[in-house]
Amino acid sequence: MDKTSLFSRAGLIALLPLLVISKPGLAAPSEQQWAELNRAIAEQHIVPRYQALASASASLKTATSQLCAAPSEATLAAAQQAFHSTMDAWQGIQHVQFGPITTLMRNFSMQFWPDKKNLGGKQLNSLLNAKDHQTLDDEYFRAASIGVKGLPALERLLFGKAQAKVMAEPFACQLSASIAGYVAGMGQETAQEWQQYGQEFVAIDGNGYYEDNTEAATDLMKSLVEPVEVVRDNKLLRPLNKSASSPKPRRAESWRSERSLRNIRINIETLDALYRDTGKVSVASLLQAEDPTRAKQIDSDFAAVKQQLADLRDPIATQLRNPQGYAALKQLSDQLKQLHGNLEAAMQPLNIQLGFNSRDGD
Amino acid sequence: MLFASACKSRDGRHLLLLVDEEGNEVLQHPLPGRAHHVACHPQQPLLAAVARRPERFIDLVDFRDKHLLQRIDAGEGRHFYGHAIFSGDGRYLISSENRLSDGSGRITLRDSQQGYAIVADHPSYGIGPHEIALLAGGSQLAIANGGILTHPDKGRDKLNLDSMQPSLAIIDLHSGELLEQQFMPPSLHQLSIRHLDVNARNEVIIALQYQGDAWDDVPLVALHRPGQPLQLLRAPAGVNRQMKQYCGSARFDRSGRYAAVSSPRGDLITFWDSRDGRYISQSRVRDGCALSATGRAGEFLVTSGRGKAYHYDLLRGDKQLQPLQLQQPVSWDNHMTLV
Repeated sequence: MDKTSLFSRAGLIALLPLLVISKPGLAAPSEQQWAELNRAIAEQHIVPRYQALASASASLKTATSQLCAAPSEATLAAAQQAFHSTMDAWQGIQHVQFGPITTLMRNFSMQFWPDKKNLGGKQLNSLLNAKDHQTLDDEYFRAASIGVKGLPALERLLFGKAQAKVMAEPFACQLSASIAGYVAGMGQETAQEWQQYGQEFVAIDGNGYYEDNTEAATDLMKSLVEPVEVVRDNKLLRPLNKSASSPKPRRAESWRSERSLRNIRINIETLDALYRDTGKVSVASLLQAEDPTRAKQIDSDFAAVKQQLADLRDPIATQLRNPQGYAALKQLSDQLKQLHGNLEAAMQPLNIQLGFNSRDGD
Repeated sequence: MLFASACKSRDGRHLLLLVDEEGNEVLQHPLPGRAHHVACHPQQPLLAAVARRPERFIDLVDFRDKHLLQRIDAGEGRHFYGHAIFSGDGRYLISSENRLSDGSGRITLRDSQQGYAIVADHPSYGIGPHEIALLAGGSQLAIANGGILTHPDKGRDKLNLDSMQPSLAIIDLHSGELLEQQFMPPSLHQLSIRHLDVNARNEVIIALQYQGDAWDDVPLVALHRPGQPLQLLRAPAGVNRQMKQYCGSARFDRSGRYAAVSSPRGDLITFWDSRDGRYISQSRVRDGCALSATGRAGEFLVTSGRGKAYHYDLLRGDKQLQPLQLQQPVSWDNHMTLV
């Protein structure tokens, strides 16, 4: 069954004489090129990152159990370190918002954020006060509210005010171990399911989830373009608030563990890797052939964003509260806007429609 | 003819296209901006392409002579919401509008015998009226009051999400009198009533859009029977989630028993039985939104933002691609009408 539309078939025929003289930049990427890229992104970018999350969260589970077995500064530091590794891994795959991570709301369960109504805090406190041992088992966690079963809840216990309770009360410590166990379970299941789900991006024949390679590529390109805006809106503009006189540091992501900027740095490195580090064929190489000017702009945007991030140190609260820091964050947000605009504009020469009714409906 | 729809072409132009049964483009009319719904006159070869908010045009196009008959402007202090229909006798063009001075929803009748001059301006009994449909008999109108306040000065920003009160209103077309109104229950007041269709029994199928938190799992379809409260319909757990809190269009089939509801963000169409409100099945259509009943019971035409068109036979569970021969690839807009 030929999946190409009449259009692209007609287009291909019309372009054949031009292709013979092999001039670049005259046609959108072919189905074959997308097929290669889809496979490379699934196998070399997504799957290893979910495996890293599974492995980091398994270590986190172990570290919290060891903390509860023998609470000490050393075991707490080890649990905190394991939390950082898990959050690093999560920030490196947070941009993928389709497939197994969306099953059973794993994406929200893993990180219920931004938590505008402080649901997580309220629910965690009521669990800590009730001290009901039933709330510690796996069965309970499966049905529990998404506010208490992921990384933000764990961060409160390991880094926030609740940390004293974790060190002093076995129940509170057990709660952190249970949350870590749930996070590890989600990490492992997601990585496992991607072994199968990743096949949707390989050898697309129209009988699987995707109709053709371009459609499959659309989901992958969404994961490249949309997170730039999400990072800017949620992680920068919300804490920046309206002006330098009223910043909101507690709206920043992961402020308790003082890694708000580290998260953004990982997000950008991840998107940069998705853009160019997929081997022989990459989004960068396809765009270079279609629209070298745009490709150059994107290169310089990524470089500028990374440079600005390298100059900014956590905690973000310190940056938000001094004029230079505030201005630098503002500049970073502007640079991200530019990067987002250029990535979005790059979709046209690549012939990728990120969504029409789905993105801007009425 | 097969269908008429607004669309955006690959080169970025907003167009009204008419496609015949072989998939050939038989009319291409350039629009002054993005349109939403297209209404077809019941007797004459006339299409009305309606601007989506906050634009102000309705292009009336004669598709036999292929020319713009008239461009209606919403007028100072007004804009359209993307939906208009012809009255059953074809004399009046009925549209949902925003009156900016007080943000109230209006239902306006324009008379084709008086050059489409406004002859009636009724309240919609809510904010943000969106799709409208005539009830059987043609003298009563169902209105989806989305509840969301917007203002052109604020672009497409939603200004009242905390206090919105969506409702379904039934009014007398000519007097404007309110005959029935059903509200969302208070706990679901952020469930916007946007799109609807009516069958011969005057049952209304409603496609909803949720404005609350991303993790909430709320019903996204509603059914209304005359005189009764809204019956909220929920798809099986996994499917309901997959609908991504957003439905874009709803249509009954020719028999009036089955309804299709599109969820373009979730890339799927769900099918429902209006006899008991039962969920029947779903079909995957990437960025699929616009729906129309075809002449056969249980069959729908679906178009997508990827420029595809499909016939879907619900009773056989069979999806067939409709080949199209267009001048260039397009993204089909939210609604489509059979001609």
